[in-house]
Amino acid sequence: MPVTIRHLTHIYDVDTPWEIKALDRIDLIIMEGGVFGLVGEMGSGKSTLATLVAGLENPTYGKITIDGNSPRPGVNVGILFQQPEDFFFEKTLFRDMVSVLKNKGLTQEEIKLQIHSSLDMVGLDHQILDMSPIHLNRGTLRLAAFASVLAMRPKYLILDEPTASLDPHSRNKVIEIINKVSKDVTIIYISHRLQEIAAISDHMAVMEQGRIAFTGIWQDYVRWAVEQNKAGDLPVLNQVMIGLQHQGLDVDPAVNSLELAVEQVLRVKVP
Amino acid sequence: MIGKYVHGSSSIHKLDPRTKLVLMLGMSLVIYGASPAALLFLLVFVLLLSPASGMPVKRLLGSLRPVLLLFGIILLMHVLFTPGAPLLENLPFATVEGVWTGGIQVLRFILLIMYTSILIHTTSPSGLNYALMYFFRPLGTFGTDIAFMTGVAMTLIPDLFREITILKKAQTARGYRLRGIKGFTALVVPLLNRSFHRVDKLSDALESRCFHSGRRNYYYSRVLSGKDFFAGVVFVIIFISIFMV
Repeated sequence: MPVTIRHLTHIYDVDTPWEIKALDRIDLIIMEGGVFGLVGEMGSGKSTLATLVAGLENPTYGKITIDGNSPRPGVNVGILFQQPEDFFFEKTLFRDMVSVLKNKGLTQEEIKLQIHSSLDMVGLDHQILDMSPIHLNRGTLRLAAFASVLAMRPKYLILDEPTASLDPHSRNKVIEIINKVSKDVTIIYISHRLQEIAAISDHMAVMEQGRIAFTGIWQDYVRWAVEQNKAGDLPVLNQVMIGLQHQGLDVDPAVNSLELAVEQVLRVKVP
Repeated sequence: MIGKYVHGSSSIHKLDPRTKLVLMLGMSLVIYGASPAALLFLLVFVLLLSPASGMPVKRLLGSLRPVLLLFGIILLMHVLFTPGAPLLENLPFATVEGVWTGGIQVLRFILLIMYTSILIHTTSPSGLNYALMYFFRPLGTFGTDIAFMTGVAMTLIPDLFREITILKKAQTARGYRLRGIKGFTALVVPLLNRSFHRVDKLSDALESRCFHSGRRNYYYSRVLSGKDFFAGVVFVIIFISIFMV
């Protein structure tokens, strides 16, 4: 059963001078399995949609269901907010993660097992559990936060800009982990980096000014962007491929990796 | 909400921030010295002032909501500890005089909050900052630094509330139950952490823009207009009516 969003409208500060319509009549279905990419410019409503799907706020109008039920944070859906490394507050990572899982009514043995397996999923050493969050670097803390939310075993996991302000090495590591985790958990991946969306998402949606402007797969999105004169927003790789196609080369402008692009260019016959 | 500026073009918006700050201080003194009948007059006056400043009366009354508990405590303290005639036969420690004096004290606080709400609703943070700088100028570098710090602190207050909202959602999503001391710690520790980061970045940004301690210069100089003098005259009339008539 999927995540179903029906006629969703969300307004902040209703009936005040600061009233803002963040979401406007959104209809969207997110199927179970894989990675669903959600892209859009800053202020397009991505994070608001994430907060509502995570059940942390009630929508002004409309309805969201997850497997036919209302979203329940920490139960059927998890969310990793932007810069989650700031949210730790216990003396050690272990204590922090235990506090979360204790609330789920698990036994000590189950808690330990879940923490260790989630650390394995993100590739962190178990020794890190005895360390204080203030002694860990941002990249490691980001992975620890990821492990913390995975330990809750959510069926759907929303990641809001998980690679923001990370160095390229840490960013690649996060992407790698998402690819691995998405085999067991449905990921809703929010980002404004189209390159990342292209690399990891199976399906995607584009948000513009609180509305869904596009839904489909990456290849369709590239065609849609060209038709809408938005090719300039595409990753450089795709812009280069579009340029080559315009020069008469038989290449696919919707490639989603450098390896694929090189492969295509090498086997093309120059007219 | 007490502390949020709304851009507008009402007559009160157009008043010089220095005028509004001085009138606010004057009004605070009037509120504390006024008789019960004068307090009722000041209540009617602020309710008329509210639409004139572009702030609906409903929102003005809404600004009292966060402090309702405080009002209750003030009233209770007066009712319990003011000597006088018992309020009810089976409640000998609660007095009629306590209800009267407590009610008046609460009314004074209500008026203070309402007038402050209108000041903040109609004066931009930069305007308030300018007014503070202007009045602290005689104290030299120390005065302008204090005024600047106050201005920056006022600008950061709405940010703090926004941060608390984000943290509440983030910790709830992580499975924390935000109750008791543990829940308090889950909010306060990250809040302090993020606030110190923010302040650190702000101070770096200020330094990188050649900010330094001392007297400030302004590109635009503000000049008091006829409206400011008119507002001053209205205040003097209110003052005379309350204390001298």
